[in-house]
Amino acid sequence: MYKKVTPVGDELNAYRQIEDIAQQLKELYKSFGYRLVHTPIFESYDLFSGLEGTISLDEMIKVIDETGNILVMRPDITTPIARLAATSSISSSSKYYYAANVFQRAGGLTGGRNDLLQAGVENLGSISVDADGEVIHLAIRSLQGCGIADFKIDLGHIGYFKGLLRELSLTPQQKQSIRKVVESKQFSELEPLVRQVKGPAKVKEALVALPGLYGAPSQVLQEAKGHICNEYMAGAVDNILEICSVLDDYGCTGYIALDLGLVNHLDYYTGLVFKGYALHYGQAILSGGRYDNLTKQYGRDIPATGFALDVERLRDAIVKDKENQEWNTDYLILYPPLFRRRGYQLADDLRKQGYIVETAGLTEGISRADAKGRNVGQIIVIEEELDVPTGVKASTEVEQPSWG
Amino acid sequence: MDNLSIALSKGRLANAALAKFAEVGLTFSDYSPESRKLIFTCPQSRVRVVLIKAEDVTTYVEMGAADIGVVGKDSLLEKQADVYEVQDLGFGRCKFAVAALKGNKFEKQSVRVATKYPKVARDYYASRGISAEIICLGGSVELAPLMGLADVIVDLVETGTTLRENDLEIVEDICQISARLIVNKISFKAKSARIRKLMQDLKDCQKGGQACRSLI
Repeated sequence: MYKKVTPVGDELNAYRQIEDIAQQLKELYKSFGYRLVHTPIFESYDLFSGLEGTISLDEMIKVIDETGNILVMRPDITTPIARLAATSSISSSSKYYYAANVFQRAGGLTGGRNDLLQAGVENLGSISVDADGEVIHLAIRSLQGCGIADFKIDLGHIGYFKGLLRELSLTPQQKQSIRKVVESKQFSELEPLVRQVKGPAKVKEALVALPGLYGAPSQVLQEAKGHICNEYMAGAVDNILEICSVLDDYGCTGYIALDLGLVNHLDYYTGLVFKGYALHYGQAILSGGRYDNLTKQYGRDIPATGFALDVERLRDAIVKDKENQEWNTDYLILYPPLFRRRGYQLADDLRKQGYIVETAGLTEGISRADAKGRNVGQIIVIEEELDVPTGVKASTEVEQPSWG
Repeated sequence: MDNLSIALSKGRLANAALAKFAEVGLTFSDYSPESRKLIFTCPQSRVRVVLIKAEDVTTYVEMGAADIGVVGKDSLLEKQADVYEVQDLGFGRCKFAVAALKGNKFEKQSVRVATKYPKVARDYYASRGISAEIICLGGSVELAPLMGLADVIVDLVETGTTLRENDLEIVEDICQISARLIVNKISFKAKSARIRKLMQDLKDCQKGGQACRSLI
């Protein structure tokens, strides 16, 4: 009966790694002057109901206490921190960090987990781009510091999309449909949908272009500027430019990409939005942005920006990174001494196409088994003179070891 | 060079997808429609194809176990997935429709619906403001009206032959369905050039019907 919940063997190791990562993150955030905060696990349902947040009430785990009140197990720490800032007498300028468990109904997006370890920071009280820059920089340092080699932070700005929508008179349903289609990059569906909408051609063009506005910042911003239709969109572009300039001073713009199609939770975020991911790991590791309207709902107006990071996903990404760094040759070319020159030429042609190629003489006694052990994609044995190949012209003896 | 993995919905969609890939120069020497294999590789292009049950394709792509997937819009409507749905591939065309026993015109305010797609059915009737009791079946949905289990069915219709042979007729069309190319959100950015090229090649072949030869 206990086997179901008690971690065994490898899982214990995983927990230790997760703990270590969380500790590293906490030290990073502390070094920037953020203060550790704890919030209760059980919160009143009222804290979350009626709130414009990022998690729907359906996804929250509800509990009934001894007096019949409905409680919610905290689905995030951001909301309690906002309430804390809004209702306490502390100065409205504060920076908090946390690394604690949050709870959600086990659904597809959490991969079946209902208990997640989340780390994050909230920077409250500043509307300046320096605060946004600091928070993004912390996100970058979080991934970098834990050893992820290849990662990116995608920056977006919901002001751009919202500014665009202002130019059209749409019903809420139409807005939702368009938002969904832009967010999921449904290139095929967007054009017919936009055609049905009444509005100036320039605006419709911009909408259709929106899902494609992702990639290197300079290129995307150039294109984005061309589609500006009003001061809201111009403001969004300026905001991004300023934030990028802050990041430039941090020296970390190499990790930044843009995606103006990040249009989720439009009623929660008020400006910058961003997601962080490792290039070889299929799910986003952290997400955040500016959410100036949250504390208003608790009676005090405090601008805020921050992010939340899924520590277990970060750990999974680190483990996967280590696995991938194993050496991976695409082709091994074996040649008899007579055709050595051809072998080298073929190898070079393949390398020019981006493959990793090794060569060896047939006489060196490299067996197929050796090659398999070295994780080679395909072996080519040269048995006759080949013309300079344009693609791969394998000889008669081609072996394909199992996919590496 | 990075691997690219593609998950295909086992069955007709997979065969149609592989035929389309062949048109753009992506071939798998170990593939044939009769083969029982579930994995095919094209070492030259560093592409691997896996055959998966239709409803699981979205899961594989969402979690990043596959970079790309080919799946019907019906699966995407029934089970929302956090993926990019980047292209309408044009094949696998059919439609969702409401069907009832021939000649059965009722003006009920509420209706009992049998279907393999409870979410699609629920959303459709909600949008029409009609109260509907949804009965979820695993298959042979066409039998439900005859057996008195339901008033109508919501199902995929291609030629309409199955409906006709079971004395059913379409009462209302819901929406058009076709095969879609879905992409993991991170793979889309990380392997952007290769994926955009595949999308462009598939689009060009769809348009001109020309044979496009290109290694991905």
